[in-house]
Amino acid sequence: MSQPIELDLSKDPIYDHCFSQDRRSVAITRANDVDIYDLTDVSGRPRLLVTLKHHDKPITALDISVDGKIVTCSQDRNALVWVPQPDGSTPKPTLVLLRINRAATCVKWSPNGKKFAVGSSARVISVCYFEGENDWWISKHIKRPLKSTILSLDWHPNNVLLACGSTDSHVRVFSAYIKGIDSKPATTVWGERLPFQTLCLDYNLGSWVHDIKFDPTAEFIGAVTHDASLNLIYPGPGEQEVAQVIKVKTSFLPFRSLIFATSSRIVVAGHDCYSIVFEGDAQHGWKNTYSIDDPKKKTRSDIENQSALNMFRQLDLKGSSDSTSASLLTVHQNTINVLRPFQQSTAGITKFSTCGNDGKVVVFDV
Amino acid sequence: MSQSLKPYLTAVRHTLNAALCLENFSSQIVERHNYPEIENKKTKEILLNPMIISRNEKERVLIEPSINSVRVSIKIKQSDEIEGILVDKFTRFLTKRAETFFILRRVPIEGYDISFLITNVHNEDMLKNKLVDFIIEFMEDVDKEISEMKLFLNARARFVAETYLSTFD
Amino acid sequence: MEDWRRVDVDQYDPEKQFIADDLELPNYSAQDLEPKIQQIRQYIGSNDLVNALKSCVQDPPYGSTDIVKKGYLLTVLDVLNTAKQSEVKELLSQLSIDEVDVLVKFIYVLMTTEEGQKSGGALLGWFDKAITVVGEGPIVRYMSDPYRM
Repeated sequence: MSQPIELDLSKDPIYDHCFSQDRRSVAITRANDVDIYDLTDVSGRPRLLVTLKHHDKPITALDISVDGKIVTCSQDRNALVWVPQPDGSTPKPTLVLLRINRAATCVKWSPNGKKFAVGSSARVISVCYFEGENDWWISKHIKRPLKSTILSLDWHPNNVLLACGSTDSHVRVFSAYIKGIDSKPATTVWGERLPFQTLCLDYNLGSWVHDIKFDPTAEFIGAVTHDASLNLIYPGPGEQEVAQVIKVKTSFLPFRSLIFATSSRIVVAGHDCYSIVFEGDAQHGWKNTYSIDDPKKKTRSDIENQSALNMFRQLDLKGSSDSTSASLLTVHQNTINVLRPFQQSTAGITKFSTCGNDGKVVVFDV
Repeated sequence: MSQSLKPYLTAVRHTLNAALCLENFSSQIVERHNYPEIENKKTKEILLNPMIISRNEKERVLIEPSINSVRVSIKIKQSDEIEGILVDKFTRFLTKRAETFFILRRVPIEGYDISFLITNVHNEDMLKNKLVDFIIEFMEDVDKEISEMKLFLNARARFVAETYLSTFD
Repeated sequence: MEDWRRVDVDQYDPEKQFIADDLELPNYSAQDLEPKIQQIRQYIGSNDLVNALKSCVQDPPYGSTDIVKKGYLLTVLDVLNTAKQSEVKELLSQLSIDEVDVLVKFIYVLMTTEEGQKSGGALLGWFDKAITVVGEGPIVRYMSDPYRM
């Protein structure tokens, strides 16, 4: 297993990050701005390419589409689409009319990059698409039966179904079918006829849903909740029917994010500052099999050799040479906010990237 | 450290560790605002169950978690009136200088002697284990401080009384 | 009205209210619980604390009135107080992760009551050991638990 690639990019927390499709650059949120770093610089260090400035409140999420458009959303209630310029200059922002009156909390491009969905504290999901006639992005709202802030969104590979998790502890799957943009979707386990805003699944998990994802086959969904659990929800044949729910309780702190490496392997991470892997399936259940960057397997001396310099530094800072709780043994020194796939092979995801409140973006092997 | 103090502090430490899982959360009620939800308590679904950890009837800690902030209130042991006065003076000294302590609340919650308010910003700027250590250390030291002050006060009173009464010898 | 600026107008807007899902909690009365409490007392009498604990954490009266809940909690407190601190670890290891979750919930709720504060030492001993056995999971789950005692 290779060493994790560690990029120390910011002093501020990074709420979201996204690599470009070719993995040559990375965009991170830094307070009200987005910084884009070039990772192919000769010095080997990330080089700041450009800072996208337009929002006037902290940016909560960003995403890059297959064709390279960047969408950002912020607590100032707006979302912007940044279109890269052919000459490589600063991408041009376009304001999206979200028609919401509270903070936007999360944003995701549909897999084909024609639409995106924005979750908000206004208890609304805005599904946005480009209208060529007027040359602007407009949005349609999904309102009912959302009761609280949306924390996470995920698209089904068919570009129509949209899963969301919120602070009212529900997971829901909606249809975000837009006439003229989408072709009629084939029948899936989630339903047959899918006009806009059809509710396909609604289930109460009993605690805030921090992140939600469709599995690679899109047959079921995984969600992480604030009660330190991983939940798997399998839909039934009937309308809005839930066939099976598996809740895996753990002794960790709550998880903030999850990704499916394969249909039978999930990576989660959150307030414990390192990633944990679950494996299993519907028949045999799911369980925690191993951890990535596990602090229990490391010893203090691995990272801090007790040099005289270190000792005097400790004495200077704290008046004692004791360094036991000076830093965490994990690569991330604070909560991990988002996991994203980094490298894929036919067998599934082999590398993933994380970003955290400590201002780091790290790439790990699964 | 006395026998019953250790489990008390471990319980507080673990509870704080679990409660300090915060995120940046913008208000659902007021447009473009972002305030500690635990101070407002208007949005019910993002508040968590409060916890009280009590060592005995006189010493307890109240921890009120929410999605972006945690309020920690400490009731310091006061076994007699002198200790009551000393605790009052001591906490007043600290709360007057609240801005230099970052997480200290100017006014304690009713029924408690001193309160801290930790928000997601503190949690992002500082290491969580350091924050927890700070509160635990504070709880350890405050008892020590108060009993030391009490001893000192008594010794001084005795000395004053002796000097005063010796003139009548 | 003098202080009209302080009136919370949002409370009259049904759109702005958060209504939690109905969890359909069983509303046991004191009579309904009587046989169970008797059973627990019998277990305490015969010093069968594992079974006493197991019946405590099974189907607690979440939907009952506060008085009924209090009576139930005091029975739980008796069980916790009966055990010697040296046996606690052994007892906890015989409970499942769900059962420990409920037990930790009881300990937290008991610490808010006057009776529980009197025996704070014993409760903290239980709490301390529960955390060493299963980790911080039960605390996290207690915080966001919609089933309250």
